[in-house]
This record gives sequence, C-alpha cells and structure tokens, in this order.
Amino acid sequence: MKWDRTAALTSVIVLGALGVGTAVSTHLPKADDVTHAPFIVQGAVGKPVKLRTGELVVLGVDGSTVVTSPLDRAISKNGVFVVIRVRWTPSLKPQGLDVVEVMSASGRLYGDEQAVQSRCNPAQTGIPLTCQLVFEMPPSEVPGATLLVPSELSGVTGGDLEAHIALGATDESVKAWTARTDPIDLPGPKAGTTP
Amino acid sequence: MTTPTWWQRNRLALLSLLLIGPLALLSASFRLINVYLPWTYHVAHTDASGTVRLAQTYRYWSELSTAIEVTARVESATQVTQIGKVRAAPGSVLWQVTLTLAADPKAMLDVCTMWLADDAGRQYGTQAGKVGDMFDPTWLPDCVPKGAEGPRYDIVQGASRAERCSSSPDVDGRRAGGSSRRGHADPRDPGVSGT
Repeated sequence: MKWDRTAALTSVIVLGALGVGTAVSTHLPKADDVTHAPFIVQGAVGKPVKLRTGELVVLGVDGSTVVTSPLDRAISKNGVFVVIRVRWTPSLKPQGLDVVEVMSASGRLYGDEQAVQSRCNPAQTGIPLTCQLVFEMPPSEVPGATLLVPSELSGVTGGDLEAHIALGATDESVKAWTARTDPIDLPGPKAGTTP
Repeated sequence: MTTPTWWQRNRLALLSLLLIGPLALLSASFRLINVYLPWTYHVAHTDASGTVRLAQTYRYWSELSTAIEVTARVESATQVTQIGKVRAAPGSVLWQVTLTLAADPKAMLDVCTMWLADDAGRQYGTQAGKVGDMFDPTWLPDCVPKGAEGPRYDIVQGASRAERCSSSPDVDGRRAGGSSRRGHADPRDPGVSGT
C-alpha cells in the first residue's frame, strides 16, 4: 500500500477521533446511572414545587423528641422527630405521598416505617391535602437535610421528576428540638382548599 | 482525468449523515414515546351510548387462565351535596355515579376499581376528597352483589372454587345485575368520559 499525505492525514484524524471518543465516554455517566437517575427539582420551604404528578409545598418544619397522633405516642431517646408539614395536590390521578424520604447532608436516607404513623393519603386529584410527615433522625444528621419526593408512588425515579426540598434546619434549631419534651400533635391529613 | 479526492468520493455519505443522524434519534424517541411512556395496565374503551363492554384474560400462575367479560352501563351521574354523612372536601364537589354491571355467573369477579375522568384525562378516585365520615361507605365500589358472588381462585389450594359457587343465584340470568353507586369528589365539574 502506498502511503501518501492524504492517507497519513486520514489516519491521524481517525486515531484522534477514537482518542477523543474514548476520553469522552470515560468521563460521561454510564447508561445505567443515567437510566436510573431522576430529574431533580430543587425547592425550599414555602415555595411550591411542581412535579409531573402534582404540586408540593413544604409549609413548615418543626421538631421534638415527642410526637402524638390520635392512635400513637412516640418518644425518641437518642434521636429527634423532624415533623414536616406539607400540602400536596395531585394533578393527574389520585395518589398520596407514600414513598418520601429525607436525605441528610452526608447523603444518608431516612424514611420507611416510623415509630408513629403519619400518613399523607389518600389524596384526590386537584384537591389539596395538608398533612405532616414524620422522620426520626439522629440530631447530627438533621442540619442541611433535604426532603425527597418522587413523582410516582412506585418510587421508581429513573427519568422522572423528583423534588429535593431543603428543610432549612440549622444546628441551633436542631439543638432546640432535641431539648424539647412537649409533644407535636399529628392530627392526620386534611383535604380541601383551607389548610 | 484527475483522481477524485477523499472529500469528493465521500461527500454524499457525509451529507447523508445529516439525514441519518436525526432519523436515528427520532426512531429512538419513537420507541420511548410509543412504547415506554404510555405503558399502563389499562386501555380506554369509549362509547357515547354510555354502555361499554370490557373483556380481559387473566392468568393465575400456570394452572388457570380465565376470561372476564363485563358490560358496564352508566345510569346516571349527578352532582350531590351529601351521600349519607359523606360530604365533599372544602373547595370540591361530590358526584354520585350509578352503574349497572353485567357478567357471566361463572366469571371470576371479586372487586373493581373505578375512576371518573375529565376531558383533560385527569382521574378522580373514590377514596379521597371527602369528609364527614371516618368509615366512608363509598370508599370501594361494591360491584358484585352479596350472595351472588362468582368463583374465586383459591391461592392455598391452587384451584378455582367454581364448583362451590356454581349454585349461586343468578340475577336475570346474569350475575352482576345490580347497580353500583359511587361517590367521587372533584375540584370542578368533570365531563364523565369513562369509569
């Protein structure tokens, strides 16, 4: 094969393109990571966040070592109950908030069954549901924590919207909550336009 | 005659990439939009006469496959202020929908779930948006008349209990001849397009 200037230039271009492609694919996220990653919608207390399936507002955040509901009373000896008051309005179909979690600043997730029942369902399409979500957490994990709410009840977040709402808890507020022994009442969800 | 350069020989192929690239992207998007996104457990059947025929085949493990065919007719859809103690949540209205359901006495039917859908495709369920009664009797539709239930699949025994239920009384030669009244609370006046 006769090597001329054009062939040499083509070889250089092809090898260069392969090198660039390898470098790019190495630094880009892997397909599995992208497939299972949600589209994150950042939010803050008091600001409505629109998800694909509804609108969420965190109305306020409180904390104590004691919480009471009509059926339960729970005391946290080594942790603190973080009580998040939210208003959820489904926009497509009736669905409540069942798979919400709190992520600490260190990246740990808190959720699942809690010592006291705090349901936020059932919810009707277009009708606001005001309720309280309770998470028992180690006090050191609360400052800088974020509430995570996926669009779907299934908890499958890949390719879907997920709200990340900063709870605004500080060292001072958590210290006050940890020292608190008066209970926070959890009256249960309330449907309707008046919170 | 001069030998054509690399660019002259490949310009058509390069130009075709401009067409092939977007086409490849569109074909991937086509699959996403037509296969992945509309993936649900149900397909809508609409009929202006108010009567629809629903047919589906269920498979219980590998032992039993059964076909279910139900005719559903909307008798009335009325906006009401109260059903028993149940009222609409503040800011919403209550709809009472009366249906007549008919099925073969041997069909395996147990419970059913219904929604109202408005013109925009939003779904409204029977389980939320209502106040006034902690034990809401309109929570779940009672589609199968008491005393005339059909066969059920026995998970423990691994067989249909059709023989046990074969002497159940029929209603007008059909089993589910009764009406089902359900209350749906909607935030506004929905056009009933299906249940």
